[in-house]
Amino acid sequence: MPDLPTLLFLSIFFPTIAAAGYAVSSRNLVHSVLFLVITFIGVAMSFILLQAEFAATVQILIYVGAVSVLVLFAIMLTRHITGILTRTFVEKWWAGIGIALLTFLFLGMAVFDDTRFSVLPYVTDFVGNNRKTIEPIGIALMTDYALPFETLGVLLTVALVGAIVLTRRMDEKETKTKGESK
Amino acid sequence: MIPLNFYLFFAAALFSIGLAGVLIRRNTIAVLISLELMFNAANINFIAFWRYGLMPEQFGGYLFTLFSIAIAAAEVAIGLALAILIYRKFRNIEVDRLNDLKEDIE
Amino acid sequence: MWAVIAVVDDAVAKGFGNLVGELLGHPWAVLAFKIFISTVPILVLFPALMGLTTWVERKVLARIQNRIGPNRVGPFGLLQFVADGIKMLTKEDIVPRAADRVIHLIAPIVIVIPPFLVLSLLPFGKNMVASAPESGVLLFFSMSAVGTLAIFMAGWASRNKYSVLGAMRAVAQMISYELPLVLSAVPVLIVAGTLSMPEIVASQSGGLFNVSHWNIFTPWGVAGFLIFFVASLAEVNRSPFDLPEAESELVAGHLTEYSGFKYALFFLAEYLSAFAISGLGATLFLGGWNAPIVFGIQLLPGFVWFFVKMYSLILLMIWVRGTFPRLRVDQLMNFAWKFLIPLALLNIPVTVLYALVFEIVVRKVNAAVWVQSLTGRAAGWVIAGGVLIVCYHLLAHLTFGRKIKPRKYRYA
Repeated sequence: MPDLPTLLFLSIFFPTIAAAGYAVSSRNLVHSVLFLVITFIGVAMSFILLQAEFAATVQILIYVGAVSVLVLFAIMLTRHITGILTRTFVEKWWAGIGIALLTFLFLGMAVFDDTRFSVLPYVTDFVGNNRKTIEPIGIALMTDYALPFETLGVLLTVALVGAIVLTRRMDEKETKTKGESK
Repeated sequence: MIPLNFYLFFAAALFSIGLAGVLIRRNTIAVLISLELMFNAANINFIAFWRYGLMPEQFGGYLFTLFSIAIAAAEVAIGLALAILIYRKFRNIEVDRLNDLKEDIE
Repeated sequence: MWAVIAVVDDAVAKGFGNLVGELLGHPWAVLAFKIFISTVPILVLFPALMGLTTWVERKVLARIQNRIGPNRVGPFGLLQFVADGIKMLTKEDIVPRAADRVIHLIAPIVIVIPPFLVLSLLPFGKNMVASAPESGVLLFFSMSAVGTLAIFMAGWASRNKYSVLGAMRAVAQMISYELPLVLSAVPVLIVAGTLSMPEIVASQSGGLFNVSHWNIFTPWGVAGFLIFFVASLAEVNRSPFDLPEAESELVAGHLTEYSGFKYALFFLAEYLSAFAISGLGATLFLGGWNAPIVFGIQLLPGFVWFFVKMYSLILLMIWVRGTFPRLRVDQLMNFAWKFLIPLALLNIPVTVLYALVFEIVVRKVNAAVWVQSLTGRAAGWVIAGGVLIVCYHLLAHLTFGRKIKPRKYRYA
């Protein structure tokens, strides 16, 4: 019987991987998104296990709260109205699976190479142990990482404006109603 | 204490599943969903290496993850806007049918 | 006297916990007991409070609308909740044939879990918080975001055009009003310097009668509280923002195909969200469990005051429901994006301006400490409050300009 941390990790690992597998292979797109939400929550829980609670909170807030809703709205707006049952997978799906399996093999072999990871020290008494991670992060964001922070703000603004401009409808109906409401 | 390898294995598995999804699925939105899985796998890697690494009090990996989450959100927004535009024009968002630059797709 | 009680309380908790641990003979028993004693009161108390609140709401609404309200079942209609509960539990659970059964089943479960989680974050009294992570306030907002997803699931699973439309409108409303909600809480976080809820309450203690440091007695606190309250009405889907569940609009929107116990779960989730968000408002702006201490005497313990504050916000919500008509969906979105968000954003520099003015005046005035802080506050109110009022009028004119005019009554 493994000890408590390993037990917790395994109880996060299996549901998350299973949900990810279902998300990728489900025929119904909305089911796929809901399995993705389970995956996001699993990833957030593994963040908590790694003592990164703020990252877990941000993950749930942004991924589960915003990105999932966005994807669901997009599915709503791009539904096939004819209702023909189309195939879920590409014609040569075996090539995709093969490449993914090869990638998994290589990554797995690299991961279980103990010589390069056992030299890393596991710092047990750093500041995060007292649950004070947010203040140093805030200070770092304003001092060392100020440039990426501001660039992120600009990027998010550009993405917001871009998404709105891209999906605006410009037909002649719009110009007519503009003239009438004057 | 959980060995670092476990977290890296978790991230590797999630990444491979996401990669399989990107390469296999026909629907553009399903491809974007699988892409999100890959982003999450990379984030787990960052946080694991932050915690088990040399100087966790410098919060390098942690901050990178926060940036990565925000950028992934922006990217999925634009990707979905493009998918909606493509749907409006072609009435079809399956990636193996959208391989022409012509207007009519039979 | 309260210090003595606190010490005894602490000793009893430690002693009791250790006793239970010894009895069960396992070191995990103390942890399990602590978990039990911090979550079970919340699980028991708040649904009971919800039952009382349904009665209060129906009576208060009735009196506002010049009628009596339920008065048949039990004395003054107090057992009406029991009757409603029995009715809902014994109704047949109908699931439409074309509906997605699994999602239809789990949507009410997913929507009822976040309010319970979030109620465990609120500090009810001194040392009375079930869990206090360092990012408590942000966790609160994350859980509200999960509720959005559950409403979408409910609307989608019913495979009914009205449900889907209602769900999309509800989700659009909730995500639009999440922004003013979070932005109006930011000044509080700036001043308190922390995201952890017990520390935010501690930063509002002290001052005159233990009252004057509450965040609502500052100009940015008033503006923030008003924006928070309006946004919380929209988050909980209550009037005047209850378009998603209005009977006259979309047949009850995303709740159309739900009957019996599942409908009761949605109902429970709505009331619990209202409690949670009122509790957050009381913690952030009204000083949490800080009680007025007059001449060193605090008549009632902290948790009583917390519930008084939370319940007065609930009563305010009920009052608003009886007073204002429902907003249309485009008026709603207009209000959020063009008025509340700029106002909440402008509130943040005004907070800093207030703190700056306070510091400058306190340095200039050389008198007793209370004179310093009084003049500092007065100067801060005048300057920062003035800026806020100017911004408010500017925004109101820009957003609603042509539409705010005295109403002309035309009689036939």
